[in-house]
Amino acid sequence: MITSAKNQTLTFIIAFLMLIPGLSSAQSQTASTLFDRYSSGVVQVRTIDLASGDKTSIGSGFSVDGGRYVATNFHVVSLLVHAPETYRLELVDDEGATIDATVAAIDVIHDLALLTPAREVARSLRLRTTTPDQGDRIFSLGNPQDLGMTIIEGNYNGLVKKSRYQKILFSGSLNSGMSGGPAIDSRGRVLGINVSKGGEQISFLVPAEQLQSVIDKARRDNSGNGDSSEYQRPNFVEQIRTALYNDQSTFYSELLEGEWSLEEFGGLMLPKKVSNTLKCWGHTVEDDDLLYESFHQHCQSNDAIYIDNDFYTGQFEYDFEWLETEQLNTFQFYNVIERRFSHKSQHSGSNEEDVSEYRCNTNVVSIADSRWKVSSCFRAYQNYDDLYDALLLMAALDNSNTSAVLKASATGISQNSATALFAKLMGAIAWKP
Amino acid sequence: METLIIQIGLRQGRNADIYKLNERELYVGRAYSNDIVLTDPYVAPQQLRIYRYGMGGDDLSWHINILDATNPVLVNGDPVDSATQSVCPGDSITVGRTTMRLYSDEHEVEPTRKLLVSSWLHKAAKNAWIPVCLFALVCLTDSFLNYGFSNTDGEWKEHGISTIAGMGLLLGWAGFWSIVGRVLRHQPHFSYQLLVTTLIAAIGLTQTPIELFAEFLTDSTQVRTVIAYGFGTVLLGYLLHYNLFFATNIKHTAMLACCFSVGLSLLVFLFSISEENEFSSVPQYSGTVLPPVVNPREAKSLDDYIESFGKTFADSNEQ
Repeated sequence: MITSAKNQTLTFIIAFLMLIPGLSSAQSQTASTLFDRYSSGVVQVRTIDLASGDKTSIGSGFSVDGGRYVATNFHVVSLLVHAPETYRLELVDDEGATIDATVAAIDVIHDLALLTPAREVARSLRLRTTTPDQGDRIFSLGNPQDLGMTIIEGNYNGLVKKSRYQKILFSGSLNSGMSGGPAIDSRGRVLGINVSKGGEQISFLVPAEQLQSVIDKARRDNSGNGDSSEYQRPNFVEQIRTALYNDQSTFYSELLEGEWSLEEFGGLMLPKKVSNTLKCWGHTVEDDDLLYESFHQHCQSNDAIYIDNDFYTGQFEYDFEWLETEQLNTFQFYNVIERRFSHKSQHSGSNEEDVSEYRCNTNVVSIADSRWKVSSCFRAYQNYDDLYDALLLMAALDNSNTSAVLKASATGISQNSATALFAKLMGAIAWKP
Repeated sequence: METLIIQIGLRQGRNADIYKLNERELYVGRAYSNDIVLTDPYVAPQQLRIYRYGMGGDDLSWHINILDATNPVLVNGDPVDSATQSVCPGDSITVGRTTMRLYSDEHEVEPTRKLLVSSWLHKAAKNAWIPVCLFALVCLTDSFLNYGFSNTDGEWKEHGISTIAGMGLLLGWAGFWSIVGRVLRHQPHFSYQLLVTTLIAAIGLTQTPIELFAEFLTDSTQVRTVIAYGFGTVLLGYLLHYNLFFATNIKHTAMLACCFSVGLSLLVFLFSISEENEFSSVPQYSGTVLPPVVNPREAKSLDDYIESFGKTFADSNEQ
């Protein structure tokens, strides 16, 4: 019996070991089967410089809506959107054939674009609107660095929690050139669109639901154009402006309507976490040579809306710092404060074509019954009416050996939202009882 | 007019050699046998004879006799073709690279210049320890103020180096003007130069606090810029005025110093403007923060401050 039992166990182990390569082979087979079956629906999207006739940028895209459209990222085709007189679009299918294309619709908030190809791409992919389980295997297709169409295997890890916009966390490694390509499940249904990379094996996808919304909008707009076969270029500047304005309006309305709970921060009571979509960090400035103590709290939105290579917007962040000293005299201590009294640099555009110069309003203001030096700076977006970058900088002036330096910045914010945001932020400050 | 004055070396601010021609004639040339010996290698060993002709009064006239024609002799800038040429007070005679101006003994000299703060300075000259002590005091004060107002890490080293560099700069400046004085006036006046340089530097110590205070009161970086240029120009003007005064015999030192400092400030200003980019993506704002002990400002209400955003937004849209 014992021998028999041993033999049975051995047989089981051998059978199990034989199964492992079989499993691996099955997975590879899934990827290769999917690639064989669906890669014909994926194209390389090239932006062609009209003057030189050669490609200026590349990305990926895939056929959707029965071949009517090719979906990709807005940032893949942004050159053409901003300068249609300088560029044209070209799609290259899996057989190397080129197809001309025009931009049918864009969604700058979610970094999506729909292209209308001059002829249908071989295979159209279906969208999956149901949510996969965390850990499900998904496969991303695209053309990384112009090396040829590839497939990457990874896992679905749900939606990114600290984010203003829905993004799928894909545990796989996307590379440049794959932007706009589809991420499909094992049945070939698109559940996301490749959009960006966050680090080693950390990539992000735009959920297919967002793409479905853009397709629905494009269908509606197209049906409104009647049967006219002539391409009429949409007013993308106005579309971008409207999208940015509505997005900031929604975000800041929610932010301002909500109750801000005050928390202790040094000698102050401050609204330390004003939105769940922000990522917050804290740290103490530790240096044995310093003759003062200081600690920070820093919160920022991790979402930047791409407008063009030099122009990102939609960020909101703030930084609070509490400082105190027993070793420095009041002049030396305020020298430290003065060095800290500097506006944060902004990530959004720094070109004259995109933004105006900053205009600042600096004064000594009474806040929470004490004097603060406050500097508020605004610069207008040149192409998008009533949108600004706004900076707020404050330093407490009334104590000899304690102070606070508070900074906040918002990009792509309207005058009303910026005014209300800064008013609420400054009005919320209180001294610890 | 029986005496002719011959002045050699016409540049302002330098000692000139003066000769009086009382005799009927004198010889000018490079040879030591002449009455006026010129060390100019372009002058002949015996170049000119200057003599008077006539019995005196209106009958008396002065002439030059050219004894060597290797290089031309110019009277009032015009070459003399003949061997003899009459000259009169007010004329200039150029021989080789040397120019002589002729005067009569009745020629009026400029009024006596008054030495500014002469008694104090003469006292200081006698007591050289005054400028030295003042110099040490100013340098130490500068170092102390720097440390007391801006040091944040307790390190003396940086301030020590900065103080030594400042001392070197002041000594170098005073030394430079002493050398100039030695060359032009044969008097270095190092004590004077050090004294005025130190005094101006002492006044200069107040510049930064004044700038900071003015900027803080007005929230305007332009005000600070104006004060910086104004203060700098005035101090440099005064410094140069006294440096020139001690080192040269230039008559209009104040005018010259004023022109130079204003010109230099203008040049620096234009250069800084040319260096600025046409478009700046960096906000320009007043970043001065002063402690409560020197902060006299009344605070604006938060509502009024928020109210004023409208104008700032409008300004940003107007660009």
